[in-house]
Amino acid sequence: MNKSFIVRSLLLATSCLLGLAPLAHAQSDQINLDAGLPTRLEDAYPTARGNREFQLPVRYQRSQQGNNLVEYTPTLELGLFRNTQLAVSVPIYSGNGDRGGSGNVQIGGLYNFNTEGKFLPAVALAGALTLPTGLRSEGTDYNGRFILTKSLFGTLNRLHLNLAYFHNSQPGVQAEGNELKVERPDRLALLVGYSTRIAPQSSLVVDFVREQRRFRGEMGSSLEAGIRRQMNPRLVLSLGAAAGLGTDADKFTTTLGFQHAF
Amino acid sequence: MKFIPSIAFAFSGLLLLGACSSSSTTTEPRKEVSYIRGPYNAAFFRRHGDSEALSAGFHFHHGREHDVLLQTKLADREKVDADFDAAVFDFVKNQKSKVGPSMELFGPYTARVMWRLFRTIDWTHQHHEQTYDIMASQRVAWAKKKEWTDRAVKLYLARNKEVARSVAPLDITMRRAACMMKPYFTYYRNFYPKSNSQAWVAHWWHPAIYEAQMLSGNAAGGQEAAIKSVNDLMFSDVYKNRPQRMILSRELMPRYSRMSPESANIFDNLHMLHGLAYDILSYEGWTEQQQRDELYRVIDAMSYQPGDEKYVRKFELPYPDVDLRQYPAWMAGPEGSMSKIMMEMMMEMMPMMMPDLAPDMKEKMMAQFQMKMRPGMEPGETEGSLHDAMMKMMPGMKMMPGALEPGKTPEMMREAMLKGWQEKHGNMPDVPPLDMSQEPTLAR
Repeated sequence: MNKSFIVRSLLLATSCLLGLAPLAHAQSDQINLDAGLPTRLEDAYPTARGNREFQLPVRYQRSQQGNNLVEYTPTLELGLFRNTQLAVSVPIYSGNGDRGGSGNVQIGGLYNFNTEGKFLPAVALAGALTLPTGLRSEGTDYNGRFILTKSLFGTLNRLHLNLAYFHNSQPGVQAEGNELKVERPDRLALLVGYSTRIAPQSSLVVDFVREQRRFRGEMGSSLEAGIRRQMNPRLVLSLGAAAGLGTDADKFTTTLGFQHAF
Repeated sequence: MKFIPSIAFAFSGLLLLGACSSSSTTTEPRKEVSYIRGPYNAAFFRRHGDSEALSAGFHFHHGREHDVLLQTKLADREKVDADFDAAVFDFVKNQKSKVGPSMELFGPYTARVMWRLFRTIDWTHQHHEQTYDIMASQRVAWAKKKEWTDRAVKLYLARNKEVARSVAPLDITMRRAACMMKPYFTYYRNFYPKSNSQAWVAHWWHPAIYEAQMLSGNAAGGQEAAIKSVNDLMFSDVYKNRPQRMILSRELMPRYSRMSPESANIFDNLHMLHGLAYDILSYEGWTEQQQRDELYRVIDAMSYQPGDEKYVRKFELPYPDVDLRQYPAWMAGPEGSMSKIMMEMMMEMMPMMMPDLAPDMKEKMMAQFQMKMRPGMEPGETEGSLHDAMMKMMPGMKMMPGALEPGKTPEMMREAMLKGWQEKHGNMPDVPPLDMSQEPTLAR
């Protein structure tokens, strides 16, 4: 993938976002963190009951090997029940990186047990099924996530913890040069992060990710940061970036995110 | 990777350890509800963006004030009051946010300890937003405004029953809450007069905007001009001579109140809840848990209850032809519909609390009562709540069971006041509906 492809992709995504923005009207929330918007950190709060939201994170990844991948993840998020959200998404990949899984259908949910108290954190459990409807996909995979969110000192400075588990039901083998790389059947990731309001309409989120990567023997660490801005009562735009630490993580990623309640 | 579970468990353990370290640990379900969908959504934001920003400033006041009061010692009130007043004015005047905030955004501490208060306020602010949008939307024909507003009221009551405000007039809900002789009542207005007057400017502005919409119709240009007049008037006159009472919907938005008395009463009930919440949070005689117990009692007492519909139109319209583009003396003064309700309630309670009151003492009591109703402290006024002032003058005054305890309703007082309202106003004629078939216009 050359530079012009990346530029075209980002321009296309940006123009989609800007084109939709004037029509926007609904309820998004700058402090309610969703994974991928713009970092992978998720907070313990679901979308409000009755809410419908269209989300489009566009994520550009550059691997240590110099491969480029752009991931568009159109998502429909619904607040179907109290304290519960459901989401359906279909990630689409482009670029010269590994596009396996592009077109898979993901169905996810999050249940929040409580709003945080003075001392108790907010607690949520989330999970998702990935159906093998996409490119080079086999078997139904699933993942789960345990989420804690706690504010500090009665302020909006919030700490978050995500412990995520991923299961690959049919791990495969991939040749890379003279090496055969074997996929893990199970892997874990830990995300610890911080978010705060930095202006009346803007919030900052930073986090650290330590994860077992897809192939055996690979571990990754990343630092992520992003800004979320409430553009109007119904629309949140976000922008983020991440830098990989060590040799196994992606070199860097950038994300442009769009959330529009309708 | 072995360290991941260790870190996770250590982090979780620390959080839960903190959770268990206090006996006052509580938690509540989140239970957020999304806004009601309609063709009018966000019309006010799109058509009157500057006014949305002013409203955001007032909601900054409403949200932030909870934390300011909960985290401030009463001894520091003078400086805190002045600083907060300046901060709110800056936020409003300079339009620091274009989007109305949820309460948690500026009151995170209160969100942790009294979440149901914020659910109540945010849900009712959503109702404000809905009704502004309906009036601002040119996709909703003038003759359909009432129909859509009625739908918004119906869904407001149905979708979040636990926290929806009553459609009955404040005359009824204040009597149900029976908080006049609680030890916190009038604390906020007396100890934080500047911040309090910010709330009363906001509660002038909100109904003024509705009435400007009622006067100007749907046509392009007219509504924009009328709302601009209200905004200009606020900075030129209202801020300089701030209202000395909470102005009620019936006084300032008589046309809107005739079209949707349910919605008008919901606004008054929310605005009064703001004041009572600030009174309770200013009061230092109770623990946080006791403050929450009392606040939740008040929220319940002023909530929608089956049968409230029969009282919906039971109020008078003292200024049925008011023009919101002017700020006459009656709007700024302390006397009005709110003080009338308070006076009636006081007179209904007095025979129970002070059965053998001598006429001269009664005169002194009423003078003290009227001072307590006005913001700030005046010469000769007893410091503290209305209860403190009454007790100082009549230490032997009979207090009803529950009158002083947090979370308890003084039932006898409540019943006496509701009976008093029934006797005085039970047979009053309904306020007449408004003919919406003819669209007004100010468009040129």
